[in-house]
Amino acid sequence: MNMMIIAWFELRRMVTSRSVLINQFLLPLILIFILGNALSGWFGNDQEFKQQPVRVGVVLSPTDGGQLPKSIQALMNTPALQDILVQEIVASREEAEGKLRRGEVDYAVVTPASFDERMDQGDEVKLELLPGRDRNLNLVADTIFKTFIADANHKQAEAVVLGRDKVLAAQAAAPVEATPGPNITIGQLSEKESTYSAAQYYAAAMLIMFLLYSGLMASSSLLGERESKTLYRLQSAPVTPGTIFAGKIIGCTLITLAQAAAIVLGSMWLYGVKWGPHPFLLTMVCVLIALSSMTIATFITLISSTAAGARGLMQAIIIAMTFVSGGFMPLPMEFFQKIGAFTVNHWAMQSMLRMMLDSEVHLIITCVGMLAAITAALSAAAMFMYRKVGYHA
Amino acid sequence: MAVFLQMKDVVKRYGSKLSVDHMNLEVNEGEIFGLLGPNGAGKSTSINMICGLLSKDQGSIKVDGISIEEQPLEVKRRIGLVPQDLALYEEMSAWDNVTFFAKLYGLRGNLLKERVEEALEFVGLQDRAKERPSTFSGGMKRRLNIACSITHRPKLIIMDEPTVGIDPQSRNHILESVKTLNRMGSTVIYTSHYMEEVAAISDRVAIMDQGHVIACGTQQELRARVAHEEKIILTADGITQDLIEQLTIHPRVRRVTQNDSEIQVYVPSAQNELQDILFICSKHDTILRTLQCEEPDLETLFLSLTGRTLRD
Repeated sequence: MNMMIIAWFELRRMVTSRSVLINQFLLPLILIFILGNALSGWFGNDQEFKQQPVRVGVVLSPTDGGQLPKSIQALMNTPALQDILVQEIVASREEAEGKLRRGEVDYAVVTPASFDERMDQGDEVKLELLPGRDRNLNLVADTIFKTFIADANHKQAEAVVLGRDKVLAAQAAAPVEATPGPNITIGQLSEKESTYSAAQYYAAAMLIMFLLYSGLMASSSLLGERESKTLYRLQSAPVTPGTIFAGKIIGCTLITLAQAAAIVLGSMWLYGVKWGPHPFLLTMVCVLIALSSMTIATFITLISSTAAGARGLMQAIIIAMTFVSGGFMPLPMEFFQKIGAFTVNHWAMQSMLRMMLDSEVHLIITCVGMLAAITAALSAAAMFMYRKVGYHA
Repeated sequence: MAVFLQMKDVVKRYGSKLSVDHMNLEVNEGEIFGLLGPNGAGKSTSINMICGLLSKDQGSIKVDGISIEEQPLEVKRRIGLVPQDLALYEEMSAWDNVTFFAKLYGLRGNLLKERVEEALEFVGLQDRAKERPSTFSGGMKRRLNIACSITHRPKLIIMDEPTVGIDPQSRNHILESVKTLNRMGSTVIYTSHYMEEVAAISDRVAIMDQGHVIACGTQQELRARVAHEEKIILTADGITQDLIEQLTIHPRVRRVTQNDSEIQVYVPSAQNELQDILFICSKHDTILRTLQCEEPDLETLFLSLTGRTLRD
């Protein structure tokens, strides 16, 4: 009971503070507006992100009589790739290079001599791949052809190890697929939306950043009470240190959830941000972020002697995590992306963006699971150390 | 009279420094007990241990027969601590401050409302209940500090230097409040380094120095220990070092202290030695302004026991 009395009092104290209302409720909506407009050039719309077909120049081997190897023909004829790859036969490698330079084709593939025969004999096969000028189109074509070669060589390896007869027997015993050809399934990262807007991106980023500030509230509150001596009086009352700690955390969490609701509803109403069809998962992500923030705050309270010191350190950590996870702008550098994967922000951001894009639920759950794992690890460490946070004289 | 607080052989160390050194103390139920001592004597450390805010290194503490170690929350329910520092939420109203702490002691509903009103009325802040402490004077904040500690009608009220930095009017109000609370049935422990305050309200007094209780008893008992010593206080112009030396070597003068134009001469009997003292002063062409003879007080006792004044 005393825990809830402390939590409710904490909530009332914060609500009476004008700076809390401005910083926690108004500032995020203003930042979403400013960043969403100022940096919208980093993001496209549905039109810009529609996949263009890749014009592939195929150079045939003169020894094959001007015929495209059957296996490659099967790949190009796969229904799923019909709209992605546009085939163009090119006479020679030199001509293909010229076309690539002039932008007449986007990508070129040089087939070696006796490609099909080599495959039939169980030998290793290779394709010479010539990328063009467009990085995105190169990426698409690379993915298709390299996967094809890797798949082919995998089957060759099976034949070498198990023997060709056994492989053929296994293939014969396997159920016949309705559509012959390479195993290609076009996945769906998003059900309805193909991309998100700048406003959506920054709404998610700002929501995460400001939820992380909830820990700062808890940390400042605890250290502030220590400085104003009210913690001393609280400790002299018949309440345990754990009750005081839990009461503070609950109070801060309640105001954090109110803040999350204000940001979500405010951004929907003011900027038309779509948060996706998973309000329960979104709430869960917000709670996990708030918990992570509280646990980080516990550590900071432990190593800081003043409220000002704790505030500075917490802000530095929040801003650093937001930056490396691409919260201010998407970061192209792989180094930062790798570091960002260890932050709360990264997995929270991925969860929210997947919800916004209405991705398959298992993809969202994976991201939420990673966030939950990080939160659990932080909470376990905080539970272990919280007794040293400053409630014991 | 039953013993309400008992400290037995209590020790508290901070590193190698002994803050409380094998302290023994008993406070009887229904009395106002003064804890007197200079800053750093160990008064606040002792109070923190009694209230369960600080763990002791050795010994035992019992409040109302309950061990603070075994049942800390039960002990805390019986205590109302008025901290030395103001412990108030400046952004919340006086009413909210008192109500919050009252709730932590289990008060609810109409009883809560009655007790909060009663506490604010007791400290004379009923008209300012809706205002924030940030708009209060120092004295009013001190009174609110007391109100937050008495709503649950504690059996033991501990006041740690409650009059620091306030005007004489508020000080008198607080001292009167202490007497009233005591009359209402609370046992009170009042700590201060102001001898006059402790002397004015306490039934019994313990004097602490360097972690020890160096004297304990009623004021009469303590004064009796220095009854053989009286003080002659002279205010004069032209005080010289030679005059101080002449006074000091007088066979019946115990000691002499000087503070600017004031000389304090400690003798067994002021009446017998006054003539000699005045003769020595006249020999050194000293112009006397005032002359006062005092009977021994707690300050004198502290001085005779430690060789220092309470404010040193």
